[in-house]
Amino acid sequence: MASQWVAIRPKEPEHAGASVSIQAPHPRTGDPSRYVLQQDGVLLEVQKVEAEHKQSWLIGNSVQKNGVLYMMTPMDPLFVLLPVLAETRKKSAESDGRFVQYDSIFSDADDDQRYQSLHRLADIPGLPAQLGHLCDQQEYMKGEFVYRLNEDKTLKWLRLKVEAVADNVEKMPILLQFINEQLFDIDAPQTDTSIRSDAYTWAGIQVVSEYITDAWQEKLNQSYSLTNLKSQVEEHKKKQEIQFQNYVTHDPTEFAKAKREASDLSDQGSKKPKLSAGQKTLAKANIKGMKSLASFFAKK
Amino acid sequence: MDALPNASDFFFFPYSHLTTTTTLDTMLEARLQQAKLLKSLLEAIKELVTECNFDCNDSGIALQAMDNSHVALVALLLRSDGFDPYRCDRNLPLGLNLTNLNKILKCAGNDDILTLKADDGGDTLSLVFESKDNDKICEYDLKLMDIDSEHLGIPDTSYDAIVHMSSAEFQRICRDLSQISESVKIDATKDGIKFSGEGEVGNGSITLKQNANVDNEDEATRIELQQSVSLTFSLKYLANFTKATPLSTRVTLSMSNDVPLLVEYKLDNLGYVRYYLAPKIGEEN
Repeated sequence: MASQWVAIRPKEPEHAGASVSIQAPHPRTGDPSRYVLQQDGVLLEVQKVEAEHKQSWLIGNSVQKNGVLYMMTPMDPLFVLLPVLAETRKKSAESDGRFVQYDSIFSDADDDQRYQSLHRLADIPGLPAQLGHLCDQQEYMKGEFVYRLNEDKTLKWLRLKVEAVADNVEKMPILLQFINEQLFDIDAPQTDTSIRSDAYTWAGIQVVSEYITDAWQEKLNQSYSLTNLKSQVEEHKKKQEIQFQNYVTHDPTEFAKAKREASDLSDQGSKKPKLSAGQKTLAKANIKGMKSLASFFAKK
Repeated sequence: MDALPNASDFFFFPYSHLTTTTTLDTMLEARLQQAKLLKSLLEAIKELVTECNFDCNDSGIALQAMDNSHVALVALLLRSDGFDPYRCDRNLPLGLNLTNLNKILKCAGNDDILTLKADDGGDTLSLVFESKDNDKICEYDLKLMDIDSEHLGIPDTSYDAIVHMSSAEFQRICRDLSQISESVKIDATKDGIKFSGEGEVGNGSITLKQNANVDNEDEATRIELQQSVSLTFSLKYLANFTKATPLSTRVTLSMSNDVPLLVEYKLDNLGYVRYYLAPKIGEEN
């Protein structure tokens, strides 16, 4: 009973055989993280959902003490392999790095404690062919290939991933909500279609960025130019600020005051820096260790 | 019947008009024999405070304001009997930009007779400068402003050490020590008062001995001491206070450990300028 826990996972195909739990570095942070590999070669990412408070599951008539929920979702194993490939390539200033055999991608990593059980990924059917998305490959013997990470290919592959997300943003309310919170109200009718698709792309980049290192995130961001979107977002922020100010200064006296201050500022724009020599001297005085007079004398 | 109320409205109108003119009558009128006094006062406070309320009432004109950093405070009193005539029917705060007031006061000659006037509910302060020979009259109106004043209640304190000394001497000491130090340590004992400063270039001190020398009352240093005190203050602020030196030949420094220093310049029979400055605590220089 101790090893029983509650998880949500995709339905396993019949006769799939036992899934194995493996530990591999997280593709973004490199921290050890947990994956589940189904017998049919589908890799599942495991996320632990834990509440702040103590909780348990009530299952049928029994209570499960451990109240954690595990979420398992399918994931492209290439994301996990990307940092491994970067490491095995051993790129330096002089050389573009070395080609390695398929097996040694996984076995080289064996030395590293964090990469234990990574070799199980090698058995995923079709993975060698998939590696072509990220790597240059050379046939050194009939049917035997060596691989080396290619950055242009990888970037192209990442962009495809971004597009895959972007195409599906409309089906995922949570992503629409994310855009609304982070950028602006995407549902507003005046949002034009190019801005809308830029926003979807932006959401795609954010999702994919969860699975790649900072260096790759930067490269990916640079490969897109979302300038229209950026200016739109800034405009929107400004608008919001003005709205907020109007709201704050709804009180007529406050409004009049703000207006007067604004006109003071515009009328006497040059006035602020015009401190007299004496005022400048005072402004420069070192008041370290001096308490406000209000702490000595009570306010009336 | 409909026409009648209209007619009465019409008849009432001139009366209400008259009432308005009476309330708009001058609320404050204060005449000062020498404009020089107000000119010097402004010079003494305009750098510490840029905007503040002059609170006028039947006993005189008072001002209290803190500097931007809230570590210094200036309190000013001009008693009504220093003016001739003086009239202020009820409390009237005049919010003024001191830089602008100073600009206008610069237009007055030192010996001009100066009259301040303000109306109840009016939005200007009128300043009239009459030459001594009464052959020239200048009139200026300065716009008033609404200023949220933050008044501190300053209790009458009995200080541990009260030093009466020449204002010019105090100015000189502040100026000299400013050359080498940011702050000055003031030690008052029964023998005298010692000002010392320490900076990168070195250190220095000036000691004034208590002297009951009656030959020259203005020069004498007198110390009323309950208990020795030792306090450190910012010289930039003290040097700024000494802008009040032209107002009085004497200055009084009142001190107790760990409370603000009071620097007072008395105006002959008219009132005072008082500066309060928070001591530097927890610094050894």
